[in-house]
Amino acid sequence: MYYLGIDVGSVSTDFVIINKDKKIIEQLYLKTMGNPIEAVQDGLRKLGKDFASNEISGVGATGSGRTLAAAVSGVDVVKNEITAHGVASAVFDPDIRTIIEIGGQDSKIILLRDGIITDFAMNTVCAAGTGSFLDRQAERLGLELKDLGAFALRSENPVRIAGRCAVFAESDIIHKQQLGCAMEDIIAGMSKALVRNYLNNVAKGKELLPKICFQGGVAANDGIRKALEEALGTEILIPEYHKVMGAFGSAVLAMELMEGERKKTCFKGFEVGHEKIGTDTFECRDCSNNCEVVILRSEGRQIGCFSDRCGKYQSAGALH
Amino acid sequence: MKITFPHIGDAHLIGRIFFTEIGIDIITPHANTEKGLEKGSEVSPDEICLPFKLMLSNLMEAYKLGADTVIMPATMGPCRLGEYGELLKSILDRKGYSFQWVLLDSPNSIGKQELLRRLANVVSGSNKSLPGILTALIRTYKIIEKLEKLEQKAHILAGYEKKKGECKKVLTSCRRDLAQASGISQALKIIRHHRCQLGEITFDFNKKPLHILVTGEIFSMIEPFANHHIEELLMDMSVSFEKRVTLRWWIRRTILRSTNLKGSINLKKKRLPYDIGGYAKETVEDGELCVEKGYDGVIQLFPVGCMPEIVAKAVFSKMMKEREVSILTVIYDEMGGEAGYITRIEAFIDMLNRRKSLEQKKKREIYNRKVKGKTHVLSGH
Repeated sequence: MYYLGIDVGSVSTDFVIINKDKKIIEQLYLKTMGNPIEAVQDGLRKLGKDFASNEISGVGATGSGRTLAAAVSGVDVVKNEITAHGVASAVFDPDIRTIIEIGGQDSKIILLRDGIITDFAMNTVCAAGTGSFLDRQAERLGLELKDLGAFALRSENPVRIAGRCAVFAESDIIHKQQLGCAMEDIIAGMSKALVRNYLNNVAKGKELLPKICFQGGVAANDGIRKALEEALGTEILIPEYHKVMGAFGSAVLAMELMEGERKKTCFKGFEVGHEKIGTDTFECRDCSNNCEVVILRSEGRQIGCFSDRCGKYQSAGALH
Repeated sequence: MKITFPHIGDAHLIGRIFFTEIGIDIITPHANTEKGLEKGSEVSPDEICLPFKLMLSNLMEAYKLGADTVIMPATMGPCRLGEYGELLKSILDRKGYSFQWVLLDSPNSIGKQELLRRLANVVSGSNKSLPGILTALIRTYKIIEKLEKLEQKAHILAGYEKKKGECKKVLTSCRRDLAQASGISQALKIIRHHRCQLGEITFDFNKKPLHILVTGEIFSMIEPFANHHIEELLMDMSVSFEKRVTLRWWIRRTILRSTNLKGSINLKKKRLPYDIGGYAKETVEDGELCVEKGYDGVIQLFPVGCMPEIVAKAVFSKMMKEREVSILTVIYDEMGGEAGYITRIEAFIDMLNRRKSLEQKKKREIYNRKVKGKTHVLSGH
């Protein structure tokens, strides 16, 4: 009896398999590389080597590509990232009251009280401080993404970087480089700027009570963690499986649902990983909405359809 | 004379019926689309609010379809909206769209005489007599009233449907039929017919759906394109919701204000005692209502850069700290992708649902302990 959670994000696609006691048995962290369908299939193929399809009693999907994952693999519960992350942290440690989540393209704050989400916020217009910005800066500085944290920790005298906007931050970093500042100091300054940006934008007006949990791909960066700890003046908890908390949460959600309703899972099996899946996109001209309809086909058969506002391309049973 | 006016919610349906009834040609631009918005943005000032860009694109399209007169209910506005009429005119004039403009400003600013003169100008091409026009006007108001009542009912009942999507279907079909209606009588018949249809749907009143109040900037609330069809989204999620700010509300308010009659809405204004423009006061009132009337939450909508609503948002943050109230603010921006909005709204609804079910569980436990406690032995537990 296992439960599978899938989190299709902008940068990574994560898989988690949990047992009945909500313990993580297996986890996968794959790069989405702009091809979520392939990423989901790849994950299913890999998991299929160690697990049999009939061992899975429930599947949950989350992340920005959750409906896609649902159509490809067949899932029992499709939930947004915020709920999934909130549930995951509440299971991980019931005392957590604040979740800071910084992913590939968005950053969130989720407030929990007694294990229930009471408030949340997401970044609105700017992607400064998210994983893709760090990725880009690491590349520009000629470093590996995973080394950024270590560099930041070595700094003794961080420079001040303007962090309000990703574009301005970048030009400020270039400017500081041209002034001859040390790489360590620039990276530490950047980490601080990102934290400042996060606290001023996403977490504005929110009460950040301990325990504070930091998760998402960026939590792997020690420099950002240190900057957060300094800014908040409190210790920050990073769960062992911080990268796959969304997938963990959706697995827990699937488990709660399946145990409550005692029905058969909609999971199509790991064999889906070997099917040939493609999409058709066209602009529907039947009304003034002009929807850009996407139809997902596996082996010529329609398995899902998105973005049709009137719902006329949805074949029965394609989703769920 | 071929009349046109920018889109806002169902106004084009109703406007078409009215002007057709009194024998004036009317051109309705296509519904708002992303492409239209792009065209509008090209000629608009970058920093202007989203509604302006949409209205501009509507008028440009109507011109291509043959319209020559624009009616712009500008109302010498509560906020920047008040200047829309003049600004639209000057931009379109410069771009070579030679419209004739009828700006319906409030009588407080242009005087009753001038307003009447402008109104007379609008209906000068009509084949009906003045009493005929007035009757048509009153009956059109009735259409608005009935249609909004139907919508309101459908929005509330959406949470109780046995088969998901039926209420939405009734509303969609009603709008589709109204777009084809030949006159006021037929329009009223269509609405009546759909009201009956709504009555035929089977509902499960034992359900306990969320009750939500939708509030915010008026254009974003009324025009579905500007709020990414939030009404349909909420109905799909089986949420019961209400909104106070509608076309009818706006018409009533504008007329009552300009005739110096007191509006029916007159709550105690503890939090925002001064008028700061727009409908910020109403938004804050909705927040208060949510607490008093026991709604589960409030969703505030506004386009990016809407000053009055930003102030209301600040009031809300304070309110949320002081009292048990959940408010989600959704700010619409032309640059924003749809996925982000849906995620936020979904997460908010999820949060309220989880909290509600937990509360109910607690209540049940207390009930079981107090009332059923003694029967445990009998029922064999």
